[in-house]
Amino acid sequence: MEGRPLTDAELIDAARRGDVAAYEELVRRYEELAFRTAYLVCGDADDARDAAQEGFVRAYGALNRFRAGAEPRPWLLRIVANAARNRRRAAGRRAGLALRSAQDRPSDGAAPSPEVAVLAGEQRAELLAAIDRLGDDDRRIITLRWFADLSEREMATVLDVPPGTVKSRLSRAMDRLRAVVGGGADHG
Amino acid sequence: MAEPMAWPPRDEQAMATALAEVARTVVFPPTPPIAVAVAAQLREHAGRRSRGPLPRAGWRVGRSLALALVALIVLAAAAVAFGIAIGGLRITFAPGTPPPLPSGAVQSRAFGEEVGLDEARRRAGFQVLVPSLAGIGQPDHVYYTDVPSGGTVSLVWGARPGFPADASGIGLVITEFQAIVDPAVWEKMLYEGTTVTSTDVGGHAALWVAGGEHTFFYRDASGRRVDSSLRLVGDTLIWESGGLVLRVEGAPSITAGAAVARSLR
Repeated sequence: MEGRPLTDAELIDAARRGDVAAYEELVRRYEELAFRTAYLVCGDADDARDAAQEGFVRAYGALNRFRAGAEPRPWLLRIVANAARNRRRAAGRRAGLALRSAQDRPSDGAAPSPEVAVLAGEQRAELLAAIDRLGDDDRRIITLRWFADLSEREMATVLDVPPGTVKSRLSRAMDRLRAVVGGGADHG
Repeated sequence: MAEPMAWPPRDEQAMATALAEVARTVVFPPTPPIAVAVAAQLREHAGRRSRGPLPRAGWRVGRSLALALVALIVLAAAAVAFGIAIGGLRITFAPGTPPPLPSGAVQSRAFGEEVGLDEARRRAGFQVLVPSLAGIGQPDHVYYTDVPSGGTVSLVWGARPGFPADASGIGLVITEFQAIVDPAVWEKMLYEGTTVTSTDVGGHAALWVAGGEHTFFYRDASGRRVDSSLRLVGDTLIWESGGLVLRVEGAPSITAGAAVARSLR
C-alpha cells in the first residue's frame, strides 16, 4: 500500500467511480481558494460559502465531462466563480468587503517582521479602505490578483472577461486605486 | 530593516509593492468546512437514490446508456416542441446531485431586485404577462433582474388554492425572459428521476419537466452560458411564445400548470 497522498487526478478518478471520500479530499484541497475567490466576487461570506458549495456539488455532477489529465484548479474555479457571479447578480446590491490587515488587530500579538513593517499599520488600513471605495470591477480585479493570488488567465475565468484584457484592466484599476489613496477620490 | 515606503505610492510599481505587503497580512473571513458539507450532501443524495452500496461501474455504464437513450428521445421531443425557431434545445442528464438550494430567503436571492409589477413592466424589454386564473390573483412578489438582455421578470406567489407552498413559503413562480433565438442554444440540465413531456400551451409547443430537481441554462448570443436560476420550486412548464420564454413552476400537475399558462394575459 502506498503511503503517499493521492494526486488530484487519482482523486478525480476515484470520485468518478462514486468515491465521495475521494471527492471530499479534493474539495478540501481547493475549498479555501474557492471560498476566498467567491468572497472577492460576491462580497458576502454566506454567499461565498453557498457559491463554493454549490459549485463543488455541481462539479461532482459534471466529473464525467472533466478532461482527463487536465488541471482541476481552473475548472473548479470556473464553476465556483460562475455560481458566485450569479449570486452577486441575484443579490442586486453592491458588495462590500470586510477585509482587514492582521496588523490592525491589537490582539494579534505577534510582532511584525521587518519585511512587513515597510508599511505602517495605518497605511495598510488606508489601502484596504481605498480598495473598498473602488468600483466593483476595480476592486475585484485588484483583490483577485493580490489577495487571492490568481494568474491572469484565472482572473479572466473568474471575471468572465477575455484573457487579453486582464492586464490592461488591472493596470487601470491600479491607477484608480492610486488616485483614491492619493487624493481621496471616491470611485464607488 | 527595510525603508519605510513613500506614501502614497508614487507609481504602479510602488502600489504593487504596497499591495503585496498588505496581502501578506490580509485577513479573510474563516473558510467554512465546505468539503464536509459537500460530502454530506452527496452522501445524503446517494442514500436517497440507493439503499445499498454505491453502484458499481458496470451498473453505472448501463444506467448511463439508458439515460443517453432517454436523452435522445427527449431531444427529439424538444426538437418537435421548439422546432428550429429556437435553435437547439439540448437536454443532458447529469449524474450526481442537483445544486443545493442556497441559504436564505428564495425571494431575495434568486430572482434579483424586488420591484412592483408596474416597475417590472417599465424595466422589462417585453410585455409582462400575468395569469388571470381564478384564485391566483396578483403576485405576492415581483422581481426583476437585468440578465439576460431585456431582463427577467419573476412573479412569485405564496400558497394558493391548488398550489401549496413549499418549505420556503413559495407556491407558484412564473418567470419571463427573452431568449436569444439564433444562435443561442438552450441547455436544460436534468437530474436522474426527471421526466419530460411534450405538451401545448395556446398553440405553442411546451415541455413539462417533472419528477426531479433541475436547473436551467441557456446560451446568449456570444455563446456564454447563463445560469438563469437555480431556485426552481418544483415541476416546471416551459414554452416559448413570440421570442418570450415563459416558465411556470410549482404547479402540482401538468393540467394545473397549463391552466395557469393559458390564463396569462
